[in-house]
Amino acid sequence: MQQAIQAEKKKFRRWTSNDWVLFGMAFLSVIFLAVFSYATLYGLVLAFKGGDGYLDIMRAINEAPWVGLDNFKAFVTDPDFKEIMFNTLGLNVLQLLINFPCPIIFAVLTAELLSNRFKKTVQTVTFFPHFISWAVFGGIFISLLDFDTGIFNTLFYKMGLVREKVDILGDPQYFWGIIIITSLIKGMGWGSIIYVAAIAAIPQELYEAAKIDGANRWHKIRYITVPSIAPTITLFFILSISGILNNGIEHLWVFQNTNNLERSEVLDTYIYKYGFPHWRYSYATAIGLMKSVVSLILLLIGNTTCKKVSGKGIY
Amino acid sequence: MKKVSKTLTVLLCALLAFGMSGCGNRSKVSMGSDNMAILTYPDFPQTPSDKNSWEYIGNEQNTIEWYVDVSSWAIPAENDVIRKIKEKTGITVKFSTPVQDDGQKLATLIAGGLPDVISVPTSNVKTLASLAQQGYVYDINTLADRWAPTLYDHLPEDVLDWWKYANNKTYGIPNHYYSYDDIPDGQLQPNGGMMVRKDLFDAWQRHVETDLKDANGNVTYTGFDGTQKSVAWQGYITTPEGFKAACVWAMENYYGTGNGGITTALQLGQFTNTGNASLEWLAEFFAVPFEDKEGNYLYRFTQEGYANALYYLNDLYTTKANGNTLISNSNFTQGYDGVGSIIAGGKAFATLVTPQDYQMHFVTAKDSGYDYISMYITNEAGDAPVLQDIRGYGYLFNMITTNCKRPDLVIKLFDFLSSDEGQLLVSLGVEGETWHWKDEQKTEIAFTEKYLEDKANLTTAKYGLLTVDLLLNYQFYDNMQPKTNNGKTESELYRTNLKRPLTIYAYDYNACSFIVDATDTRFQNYNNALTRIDSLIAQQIPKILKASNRASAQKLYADTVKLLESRNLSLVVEMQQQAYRKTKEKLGITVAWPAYQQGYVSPLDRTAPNGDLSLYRTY
Repeated sequence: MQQAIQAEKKKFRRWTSNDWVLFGMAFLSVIFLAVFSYATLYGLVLAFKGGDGYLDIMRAINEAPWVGLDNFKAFVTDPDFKEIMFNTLGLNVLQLLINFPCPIIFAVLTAELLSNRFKKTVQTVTFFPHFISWAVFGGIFISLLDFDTGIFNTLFYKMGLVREKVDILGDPQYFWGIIIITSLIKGMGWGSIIYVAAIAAIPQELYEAAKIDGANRWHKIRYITVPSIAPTITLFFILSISGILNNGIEHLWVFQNTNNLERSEVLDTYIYKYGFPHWRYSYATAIGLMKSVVSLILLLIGNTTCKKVSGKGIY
Repeated sequence: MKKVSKTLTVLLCALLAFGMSGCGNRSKVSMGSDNMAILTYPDFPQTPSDKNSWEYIGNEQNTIEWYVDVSSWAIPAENDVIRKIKEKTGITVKFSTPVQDDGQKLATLIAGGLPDVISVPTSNVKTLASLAQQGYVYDINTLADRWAPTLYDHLPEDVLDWWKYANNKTYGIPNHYYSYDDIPDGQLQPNGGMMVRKDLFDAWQRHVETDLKDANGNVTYTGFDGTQKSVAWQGYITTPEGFKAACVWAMENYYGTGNGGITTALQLGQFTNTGNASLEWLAEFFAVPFEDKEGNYLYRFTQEGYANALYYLNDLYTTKANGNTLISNSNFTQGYDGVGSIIAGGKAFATLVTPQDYQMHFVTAKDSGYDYISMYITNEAGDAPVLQDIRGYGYLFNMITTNCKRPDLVIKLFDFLSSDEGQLLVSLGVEGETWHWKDEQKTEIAFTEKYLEDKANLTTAKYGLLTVDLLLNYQFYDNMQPKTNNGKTESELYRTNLKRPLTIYAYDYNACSFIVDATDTRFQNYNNALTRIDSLIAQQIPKILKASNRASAQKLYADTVKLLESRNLSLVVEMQQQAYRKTKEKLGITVAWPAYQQGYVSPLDRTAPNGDLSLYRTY
């Protein structure tokens, strides 16, 4: 009884100044979330209203008539719907298959480098593109891939590697490839940071013990490194699955042109095009909401699957 | 823990409610029976009409905010013109522009509160109509009636009338308009134009004269339809077959990335999400009518002539010379700067762009020794080109917003800027400082010695000529500018004359620049359909042009037309036809297509492939 009273007292102990500081810091994040993530949720009503054509988004929210699911129907029955969904899912699944494992492999490989100087050089070189904006990075690539003056075409053509110059930027069939390769170049180094950190946290004793047991490098990677960073991989895998409908507009925007639209038009670019410039707030909100709902479902599926397969999930 | 969760939930609900209440920062706008917002006006005393309205301002000093929705519009620094405007009206103007032309800043301003005046491109018809319809801007008529009656004396009536909506009110004043009052006798320059590198053009003409000309001075060639045709040798390049032959010849003889070499035979403009202006210009060269013989409006993309223009470009794209296509593959992905760099470097045999949009690139090419000169081509039937002239009802539409605290003063500022005095000030500078009258009747102007001296030294920024061009009547300026070569640089002369020889093929297209009625209840559906149609066409055009052969191009075109029909093309055509009829009524004409008008005489002159060079201005 006495213990229970003491425990109760401990539970309601007075806050120290340290607690207040921590509370203040946490509260700021709560305010941030509340203002920018919760208060703005009210705008979702636009998806169910006929607010297209209103210039003032606030007036569209308040004054536009309710139209039920009309905006959703309009998108689903749009002649471009299938193509947009195909591109969005196709591009993201490819990115999930290629771009997701690459930073992990890269982190594991760099961790195996013996020369610290070389390791740092490799990391610096691979991190660097992350700090260049897509506009600049994309611009450089566009110059390199230009049909007439781009170095790739000129080089490959002159070396006889291709019979004819290839319209890399204009032909839709190359668009996904460009996106995958450029995002790898720009993001692989940066994306590997978290895995490098996770690898660094693995106790060295495990490797030493494995060495005594006769494990070679491959064995160490397979039986120590990968299992040790598995929770991190799981977490990012689930997050990647939930973001399967997000393409990163600035990246696609740089490489999109009227020639490759049939493979480059994805949900993000479509929403952007039909939202502001054409004052179709309701239509764009409906597509955005649909995207969020699908992402949430994917997150739940991803988490459940991971839990079943590996016993690890994000909650 | 439960308590904390409950508190957080209450807090978040409160924030959500706060968000909801924050959404209603603007009172609900009442709509009139004409489907336009009912506006309320401040209660300032009425201004008499016995003298210019701005002369009633007195010593009052005010500052207004003016937003120009074009990122490339240069905000003027403090200069003599701005100082003079302030002296005359007591108004200091603070200008602002967006960083990008994606409409985001305007949307934010609309949601957060518009400044006193906004200028939006006239091409953005939907936004202009919605701003008026939803009560964001005052109508000019009421403002002028109350506080600037002299505006009606200063602003051409046809300009004001053109922008009237169904309720007979105008909600802004454009700049760069071409009023029928100001247009001199004769025709105006075309809007688009074909330009060809003069040295290569001359070389081709020499080749034709030497190698292809027969004893009668003609060139006989096989037409695309397989028939034998004949044309005066000078004009062979003006036929579609001859132009193609010239392109092949140019690529075979001059292809190269080095000095003097070309990398493309025909350079088109930029392919954007809304299409490509070059297609419009080619359709005009091919005399594709926008009206049938009964005077009904025709939607251009679905016309046979337009399809032929597409097939012609497809033919040029699929034809190879020296291993390269006549239209470069790069052309399809080039942005504005990419197209400009080809022109500036003289890398195209011919260009089919909007020359004024690339005038500095043409000047750079000229300075590098690659002089581009105008030329024309015709359709296979040999009809004379029917080009849209440069007239129009403006580039930027200036509106006084309902957020403006002193619309009585701003309309007076508009009145001043629209007057001859204001127009002379913004276009030619302060009288006595940069220019003076040459005669007592005040008909002719000359620049001052001081200004010419400063111009020679490139130190004229302080004078501020053409920096505040938001209500500039360009034709008035063109009529009033000094008619001497004095002070004109070679580049200025070149720019002035760029496509002037094609003037003989240019006509008034204003009937075709109709404004669809924003008060129509179908307007939103019309706009949604039009957006989808424009973007589909923009997406299909490169495919058609790049099709492997004519049959594929024809199939793609037919598929596109079918797709357009499934995207509510019928509604678009119906509303455009309605607007077209009303516009013709307003213009007082029954037939708008120049070639169908009574008294039309074809100006086609095959012996002058560059147009009428005698039209070059020497001042």
